[in-house]
Amino acid sequence: MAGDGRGGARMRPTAFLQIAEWLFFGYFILIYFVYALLNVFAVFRIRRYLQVAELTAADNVFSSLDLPVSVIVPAYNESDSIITSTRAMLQVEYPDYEVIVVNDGSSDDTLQKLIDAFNLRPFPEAYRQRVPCKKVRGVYKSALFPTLRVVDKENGGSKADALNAGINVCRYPIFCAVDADSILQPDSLRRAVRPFLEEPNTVATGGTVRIANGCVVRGGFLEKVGLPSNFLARVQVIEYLRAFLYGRMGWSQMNAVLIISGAFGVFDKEAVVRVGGYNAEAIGEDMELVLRLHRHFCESGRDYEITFVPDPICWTDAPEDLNTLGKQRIRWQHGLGQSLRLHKDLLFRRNSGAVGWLAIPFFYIFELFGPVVEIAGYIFMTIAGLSGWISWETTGIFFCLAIGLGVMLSTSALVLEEMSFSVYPRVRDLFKLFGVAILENFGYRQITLVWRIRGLVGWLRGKTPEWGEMKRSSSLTEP
Amino acid sequence: MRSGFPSPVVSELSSSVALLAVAVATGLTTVLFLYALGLRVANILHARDLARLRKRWWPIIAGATISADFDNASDLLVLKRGSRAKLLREWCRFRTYVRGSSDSSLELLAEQLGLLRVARRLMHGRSVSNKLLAVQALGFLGDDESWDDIEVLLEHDNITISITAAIALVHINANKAIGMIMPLVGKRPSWPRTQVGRLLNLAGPDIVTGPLCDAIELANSDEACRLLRFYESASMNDMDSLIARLLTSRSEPAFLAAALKSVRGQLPGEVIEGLATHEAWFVRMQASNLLGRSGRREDYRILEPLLSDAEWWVRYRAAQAITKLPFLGPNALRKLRDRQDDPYAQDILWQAMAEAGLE
Repeated sequence: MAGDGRGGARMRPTAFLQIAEWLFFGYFILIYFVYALLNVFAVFRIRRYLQVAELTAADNVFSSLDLPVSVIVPAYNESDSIITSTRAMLQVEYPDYEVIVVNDGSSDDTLQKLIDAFNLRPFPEAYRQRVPCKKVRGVYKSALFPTLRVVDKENGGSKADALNAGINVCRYPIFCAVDADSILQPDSLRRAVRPFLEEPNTVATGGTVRIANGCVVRGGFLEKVGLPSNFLARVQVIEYLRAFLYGRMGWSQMNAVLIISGAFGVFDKEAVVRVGGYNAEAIGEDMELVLRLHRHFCESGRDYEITFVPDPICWTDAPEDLNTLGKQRIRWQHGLGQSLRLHKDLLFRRNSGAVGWLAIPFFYIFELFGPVVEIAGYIFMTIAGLSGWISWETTGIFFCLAIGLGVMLSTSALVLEEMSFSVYPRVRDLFKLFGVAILENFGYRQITLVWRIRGLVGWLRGKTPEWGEMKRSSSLTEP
Repeated sequence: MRSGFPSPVVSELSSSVALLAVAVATGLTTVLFLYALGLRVANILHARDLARLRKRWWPIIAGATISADFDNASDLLVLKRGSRAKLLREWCRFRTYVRGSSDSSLELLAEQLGLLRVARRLMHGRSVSNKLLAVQALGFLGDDESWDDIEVLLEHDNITISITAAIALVHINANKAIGMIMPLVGKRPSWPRTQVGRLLNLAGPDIVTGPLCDAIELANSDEACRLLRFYESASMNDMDSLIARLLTSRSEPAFLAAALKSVRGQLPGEVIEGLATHEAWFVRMQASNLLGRSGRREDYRILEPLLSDAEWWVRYRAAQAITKLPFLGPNALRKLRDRQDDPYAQDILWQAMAEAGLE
């Protein structure tokens, strides 16, 4: 009996271990298989895009059919970079556009710097509120640049509120939301607006965001592309390549893009107004808006496109210290959870297509709860290895698998980059990026997982994440 | 804890699967990195090759845009097969941007170099990219013999191929091509506006006007709206008379707004007056816009009530239109603003006057 009893007790943990072991191995293999599939979609999409881009290069001289665009730049305490980024916005090559900088009740001298640099004068704007936002204190117009207006408003506590004020003031049917700590490529608007011209059902377009750290920016122009010297910023170069080149391009192939980066997104204004503008309560207002657009068009049964252009069109300042980066990642994870929950009824909805049946489940399983499974896998395998429940070989294989698949995906993003834009000019940059693709798996990836879990827990507990002060690199700061 | 488990309990199968996955990942990573490196090297070599080709051929092609006096046919013989497609691409690049008599000089150069043969060969190859290049080149070269091959591509699912074929057909025979293409313009919303605009401009208003007017008359509202975007490629007078007629015979608000937006000339007062009070705000807005463009004294009485419209855009466009009226100076505008009872009308006039630099 005793023997039987011990044997029964032995069977249960063994079965449990085997299930856990298969679960973790299976999870890792599945997640990377899905990413690899997205990669394949992205290859097709990018190849087709480049073919068309080459053939339509001559159309750049034909502009009478271009749609006018309002560029909205929300700014809160952006005193260091606002002049550089506004100048960059004013130098964009586009036939008809306006720039609206929204000073979201900054406590520093953002507004005063703008007034001085662009010779702003009060403007009698017949303001009308189409989407909700905090009170607008005044509108200014530049005496130097007729296309520049600055909206001064009370602080709304969120970028969404500032963007809504910009939407209320902007004149044109298409608006482009750009972060104040970003600069645009001169041809960015032309490239991002092209989907609206080519596909009339387009309601939103995302652009590829790249890391500005390490680049040389002068007078609002990107003068020279370079890799950042800071390791954290360099890892983010790889992360952004993965996220934009095959993450979003892959989903774009299925009209299932769920995120258009807040750093650069172009929207059909009327569609956004119809869904109520940005949600000021949302932490990830960019993703929440895209999900709301998907939901609105799924409910109305109208054809629509939310697309993505792979060209590197917007350069943003990446955090270079752990504290700022950590806060950013906690916020992103919180925003992801919040947005998915707000639109949970899109999940497996009958007419929601790839959005409800593929993209949202993917984001729930791999992006939202993925970090928990991954960390649990590391902990389980370490404990199991130490306790002798599983052999050291198996533990080793597990870690090699996690790292190997991670490196493989980052390398495939490098391949996509080489196939398409080859932004970093020197061959040694490629080696450096490959080195980072390996090194990020030792420490950085695990820290990121911890931040993401903190974001997830914060969201589950209903705790509002901190913004904290963003420490800037010198890339976008005026000399 | 250790005593509760046999050591180790891991299944051989999962270990093997994981080991295989590690091996595959490592192998693939190596292959991918080498491929990325190979792509970089190939890009560098391609760029060098292209630079050499351009150094040799750009002066010749550029020279051909100025003078038809050249003799370089023998040079093509020394070009590798792969470089011939590159040369054709460079030739097409030049040909895209030049206008006037340089066209024929470039075509003569292409003839001497045997680029027509190169293009025809690429047309029947398997590479989509080369096929597109060939269609473009055969169009530029006006190759009648390839008409049927290119016409087939008009119905191609790939938008780029179909629109490139359409442009090529216009180059070969604009009259014949526009008659075939115009009905497709309304029916294929996926055709890029910029490209359609390009092909219509290429054909010119004399060829485009008739088929465009016919297509608009026969089209449903959506198609007609799409076709109206190409107003500027046709003769203004003919288009305006057609629109004036259609504005009284059709009632779809989207069509009315698109038609009003297109008009560049003037419409009879009674037509526009009716539309300025239309129930759809976007029709009223376009009517205000049009009245601003017309600048007629008699339109002023239609515009003033629109300053108090319920819709901001209608008020805004009416205010902009009023500030543009040539017979109203700053003082008259200030008086007009001061006599408005409606604060919304006053606000919008303040704004429009400030925008026009009148305040």
